[in-house]
Amino acid sequence: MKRELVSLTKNGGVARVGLKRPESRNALCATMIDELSSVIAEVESDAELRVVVLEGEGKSFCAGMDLKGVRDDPSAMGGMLEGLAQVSVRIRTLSIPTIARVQGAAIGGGCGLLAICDFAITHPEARIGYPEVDLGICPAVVAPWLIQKIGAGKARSLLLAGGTMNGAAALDHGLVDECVPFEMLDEAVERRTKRILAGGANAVRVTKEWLNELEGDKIRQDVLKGGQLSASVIQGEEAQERIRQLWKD
Amino acid sequence: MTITLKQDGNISRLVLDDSTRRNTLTVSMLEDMNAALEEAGSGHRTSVLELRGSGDVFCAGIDLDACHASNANTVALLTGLSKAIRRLRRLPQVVVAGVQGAAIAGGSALLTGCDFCCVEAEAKLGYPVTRVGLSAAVSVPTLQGKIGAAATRGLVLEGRVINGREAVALGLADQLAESRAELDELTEARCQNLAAKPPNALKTTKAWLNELESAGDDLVLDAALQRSLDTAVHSEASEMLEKNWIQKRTAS
Repeated sequence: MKRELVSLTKNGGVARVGLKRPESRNALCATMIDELSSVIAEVESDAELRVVVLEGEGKSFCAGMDLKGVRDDPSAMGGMLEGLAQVSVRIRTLSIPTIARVQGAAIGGGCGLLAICDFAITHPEARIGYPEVDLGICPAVVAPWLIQKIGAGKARSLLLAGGTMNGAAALDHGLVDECVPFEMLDEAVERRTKRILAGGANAVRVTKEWLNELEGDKIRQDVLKGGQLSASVIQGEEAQERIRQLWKD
Repeated sequence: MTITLKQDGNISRLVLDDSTRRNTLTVSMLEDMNAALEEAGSGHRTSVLELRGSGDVFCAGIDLDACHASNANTVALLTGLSKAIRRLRRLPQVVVAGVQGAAIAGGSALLTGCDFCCVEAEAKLGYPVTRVGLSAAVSVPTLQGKIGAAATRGLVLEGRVINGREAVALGLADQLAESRAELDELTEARCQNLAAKPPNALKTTKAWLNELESAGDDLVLDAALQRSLDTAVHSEASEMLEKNWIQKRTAS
């Protein structure tokens, strides 16, 4: 598959997976979701790889779902949400650790990508969060992952409250693991990557696989079910009305 | 009536309204509360329910005098409390609690069924119930969902009373107010903010979170209630209630 919106570079056991739609703040469109899935498949099949860095080109990590591109096509929105659910399961079940390098913004579906990675590193000014309910959308895909990452109580208040927060608050909430000055972001990602590479390749792989096994199948089924739920809610009148308001005039 | 329920635009406001008794949960109060929750859940076309207590104390817990008087009372109180936790959790409305003064034992248990909780910094929360021979088991599943397994063990086994700051740090509450005025302001602002959100997205998201979190399932909560009931009817409970509640209160 020829890929234009998601890149994969491999160097010394490190796979860098790049979202490449900077003009749209790396908002996820259907093609991008397909390409991401194909990149992850390639990562899965390469036994030499030992760690994945997920990153976004330009000012933002990922601004969420590209609703604008499908503003007149609710069923396409639904399809994208189900596609995102599937690729999130695929990323989560990789046998090697994943690090999200989060600059600028990780919103909605973009924040979902952050939540499924084993590590997320950002800077204090980044905008992070799940404003789905504000748009009439149900953040059903990310809910199981977020419960796993920060606990059910905090996930409940975050997802129901909507809105976004800055990187420092995201660290307080446990959404990210590190929050460093923007100019030190690459260094922090590098440090984390090296630490993982310093471990035994087999030991890290077995540990990650064991964590995936403990997490169990139910969460993966829940995420896929969440994809369907979210797809049905976004096609409803309430969500469509709010989405239309976004690009009014 | 010791419970008031009002519909105010898109917000249902439920108040524990027995301030002379620090909103201690009696059998009849829990019956009224559960009826009010049912009314709000089925009859109100609102997307938010605010839970408050009148006076200086949100809720001082279940009525220990009644527990001391008879096992039948204890069974009715714990069963009513368990029902209230379930109803709060399963309401179609998102639930916002505002806690001043104290939310002790049964008061804290109610909070575990809420989606949001704003708390005064100096408020007292926690489960100091083992000293009267009771078990917080009834509250454990939803508490554990909120604050995690390790913190739950610490709180219910030791019976330590915590303040609002620690409650926020643990996750039992999620917003801190430095004063009563700020508490009222923050709670109201949050209710209004949530009330302005698209109602279907809010309701669906809450229902989905409930489905994902098995802590609210009847099987789990029935077992939890049973543990609290078994403990409460043990002879140890009547002895310790006599020694650490009735006698101490009479002495003071």
